[in-house]
Amino acid sequence: MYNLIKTGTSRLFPSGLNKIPKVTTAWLREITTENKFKIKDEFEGRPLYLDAQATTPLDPRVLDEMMPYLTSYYGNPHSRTHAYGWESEAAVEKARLQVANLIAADPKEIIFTSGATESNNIAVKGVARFYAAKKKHIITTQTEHKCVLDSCRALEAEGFKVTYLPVNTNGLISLEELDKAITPDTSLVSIMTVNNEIGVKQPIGEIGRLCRSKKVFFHTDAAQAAGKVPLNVQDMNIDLMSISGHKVYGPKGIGAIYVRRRPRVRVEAIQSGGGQERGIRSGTVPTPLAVGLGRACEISQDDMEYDHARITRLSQRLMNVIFSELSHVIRNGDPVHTYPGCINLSFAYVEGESLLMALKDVALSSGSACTSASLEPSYVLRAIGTDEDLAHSSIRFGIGRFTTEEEVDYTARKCIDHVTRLREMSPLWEMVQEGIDLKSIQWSQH
Amino acid sequence: MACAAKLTSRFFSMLNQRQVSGLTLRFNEIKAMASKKELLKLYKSLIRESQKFASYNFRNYAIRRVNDAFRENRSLSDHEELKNKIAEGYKSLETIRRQALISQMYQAEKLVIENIRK
Repeated sequence: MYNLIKTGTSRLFPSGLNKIPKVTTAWLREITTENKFKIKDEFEGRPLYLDAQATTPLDPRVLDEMMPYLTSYYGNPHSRTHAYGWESEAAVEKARLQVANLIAADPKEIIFTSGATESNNIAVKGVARFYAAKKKHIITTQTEHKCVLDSCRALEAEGFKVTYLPVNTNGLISLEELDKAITPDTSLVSIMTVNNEIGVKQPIGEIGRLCRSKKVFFHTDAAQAAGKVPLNVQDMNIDLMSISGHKVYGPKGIGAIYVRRRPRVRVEAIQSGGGQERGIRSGTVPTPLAVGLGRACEISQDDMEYDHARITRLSQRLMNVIFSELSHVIRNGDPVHTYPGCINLSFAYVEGESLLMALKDVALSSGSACTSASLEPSYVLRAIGTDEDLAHSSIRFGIGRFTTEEEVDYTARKCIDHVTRLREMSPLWEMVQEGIDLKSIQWSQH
Repeated sequence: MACAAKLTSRFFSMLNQRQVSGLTLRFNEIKAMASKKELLKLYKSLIRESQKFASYNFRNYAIRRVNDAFRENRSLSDHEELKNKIAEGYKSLETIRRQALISQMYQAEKLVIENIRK
């Protein structure tokens, strides 16, 4: 309603008169419903949320657990001299256990950070710098998250050698190439579990085994995977793992890093201070946020099968409708080794940004939220060898715990309508329909 | 409620003392019926409270989760396990009550699909 009045009045009173008497609203609504099927259709209400990779809503059960620590129990968990401190400390330790249980770790191996970005920084820079005297080589992939790639860039400036492994066209790394890339000088391999843009799930178990056999530390960025797919740091030989709170229906501003104790992995701290969290991450642990992350991990663990089955069903539903009604749609990334909640589709001959503009009533993204401000095509899509034009026409659908069938159906319907409409306007689409191969055209240069 | 539990437990111990097989059968039937009634009551209040979520997504999730949890545990026969599940249900009921209230206090605009439906 608010949107409608806003768009309605700005059209009627361009000077910005936004206070109108209530009696006019019914009349305004009539005008706009007439325009309902126009190209730029106005809609009433908030857009649907289908961007679960960017962030997820806070689960009410998590908030319920956090509330006491936001109100009554405000003690500093590091205060050892009074009850306020003890009760907070107990809560933080319980949360640490909950996080550890999710990945089959020991609670002593969990360190709370501000989020997966900080965890990744500690892992990549921390390990590299600590072992710098002996080893100066790091391996990562081209499809990593920006914070891992940027940490590697920073290390390169410090004199480290970094190998950015290419990925296959399905987004998976090749184990032979990783094997070849590991040298006696390699200290760390950092490969993400589930990709944030294309949802591809790397063979973490195999990578872990390979790294262990070569005595190289293995870090995985599991921000998109923890709580969604089963992870076991013992079976998978993971030495370091990054977890984010707000991707598992927990609060924003907290994350965790798993650092193995046996065999011991040492990291150089980035932040100096009071020596909390075994000196790896100084600074007071935010009790309510830690409690929230712990509870979020516990819920994800208990409901993993339930949520996964449902998200798989919804994801199938979305793809079935879109693929049955639209041609020239390509799914980016491997269709089998994937997390079903992340669907990255390229709609050929449609510009992704214009589709996003048209789909204003659904919150979607063309890729990572961190890079959504730039119009450059995603580096992840370029790494898997997607053509420039298809990389420009990609949309990511993120399905989460709170997504409903109704929302999926609405999104699919709207998406099909707008893609059809945009294609009808496109001269390229017309040429394709006439059977002209666009790649054979010599575009004149001016 | 607590009084009834006390009574049944006394009754149960009485039965144990006397070892009346016929009576035991009868007693188990009554107990099953009572817990069935209690379960139905719990289920109804869980659904009723879930419907109070102002947020579309939370409301739908809560109702679906309650329904699925009851369906999942339909064939549960172990008395101890059933008791734990019921206790869990009452705990959830309290959480839903509080969170539905918060959801009502900090309401956002309705979603597009909610407005279309009405």
